[in-house]
Amino acid sequence: MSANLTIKTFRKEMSWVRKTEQSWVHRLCQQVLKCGPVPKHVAFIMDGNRRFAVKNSLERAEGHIMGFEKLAKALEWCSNLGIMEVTVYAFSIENFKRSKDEVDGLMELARQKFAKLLQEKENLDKHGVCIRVLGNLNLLPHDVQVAVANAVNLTKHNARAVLNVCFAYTSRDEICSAMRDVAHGVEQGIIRDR
Amino acid sequence: MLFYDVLLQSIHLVVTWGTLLVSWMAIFVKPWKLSQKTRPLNLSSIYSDSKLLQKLPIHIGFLFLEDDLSCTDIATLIVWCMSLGISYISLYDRKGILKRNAFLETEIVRKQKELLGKDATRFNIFLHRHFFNREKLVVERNINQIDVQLLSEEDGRQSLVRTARQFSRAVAVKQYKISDISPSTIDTFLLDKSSFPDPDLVLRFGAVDSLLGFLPWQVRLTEILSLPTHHNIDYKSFLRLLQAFGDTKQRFGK
Repeated sequence: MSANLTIKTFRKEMSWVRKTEQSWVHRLCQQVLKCGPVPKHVAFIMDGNRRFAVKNSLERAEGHIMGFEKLAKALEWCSNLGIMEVTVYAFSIENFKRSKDEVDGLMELARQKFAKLLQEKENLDKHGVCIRVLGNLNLLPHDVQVAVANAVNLTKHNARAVLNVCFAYTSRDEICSAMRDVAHGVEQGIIRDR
Repeated sequence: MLFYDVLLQSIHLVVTWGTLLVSWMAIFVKPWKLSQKTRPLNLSSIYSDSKLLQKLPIHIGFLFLEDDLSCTDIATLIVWCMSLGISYISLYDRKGILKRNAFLETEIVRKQKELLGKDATRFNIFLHRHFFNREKLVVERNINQIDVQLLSEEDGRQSLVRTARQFSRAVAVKQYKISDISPSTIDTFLLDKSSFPDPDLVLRFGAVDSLLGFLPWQVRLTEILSLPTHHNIDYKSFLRLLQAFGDTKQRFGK
């Protein structure tokens, strides 16, 4: 079964920003936690989508979709607890090593999620969510780059909550990019070498 | 409403103290449980333990993230590693206290004699205190050569700053193009400076869940395990962590 076919079966509620009903236990725990210090910035490493799919007899692509669902829930929990900055490690450059089908499926998921973002502008502005995408975006398919650019542009003026999506990253690639920028600055005379 | 706030605060207090208690027990109760008689340690017993491990790290890093450092326990760890056949060891403390410690070398020699007896002199230990500008490691290595590097926070990010500076200069004098700066050229440059392979295992001692600046570039694929403290470190706990290391499976992104 092709990845594209499976992805099209995603449900309507899969938006980025949501407000769901909470049980009293959930609300109580939340209020207790807010009595003490709460981290200002939490990062999530999204691991286990494929294992989840295998365990629940789903397609891999479906596992990734469910992973996104859970992420959106986690974002809601963070927002309720007063955690104002969240970073998500979504796709490493190392993940390009996976099968073409799986990588295509993940790119399609990204394409659809970033496109959905554009439809949720009102909601995002209401909650003041600023979305940043970090990584070597040149490695992504062109249309995904465009979707990402649109989403980032759309939310750049929001300042209440920040979501950093790490997409096509590795720590060494990031450090290398920074060194290149510095070398470029020195070459152009913008940065002085002492 | 005020009563409700007080109730929430009290629950929070109870949970905080409860969590603290549990973590204290991990530090103090464990030594009691392990005080049973253990068989004597010597080179051959430790070496035979190494044969039972799934895999042995080539380069092990010890992060001492506690306020008090015990030279005796650190020396003990080094002697255990040598006996197991681990020939690259990194010792890290944030402020560089170990680098300036005059007693570490003598303590290592003392512990070697104490634990290894007649086998003490078989190993050649080299201590390196500087990351950049260190003497090149001996090319022809044998299994009895042990290299120990003493590191602090300045060897992490600051080394990367120095690297960036060198590359920028090379670009400015047209020796390099910007596109020549790649993860592999940076890696080659750093490897040339330190001559140590990347650490495959790092053991963190202390309550902080962070590497606190330890070699950020080199820990890309490093397995990180922790123990609450290095004080009175016991062999069984150490071995257990090495066994856990042997059980890890790495998929490298695939």
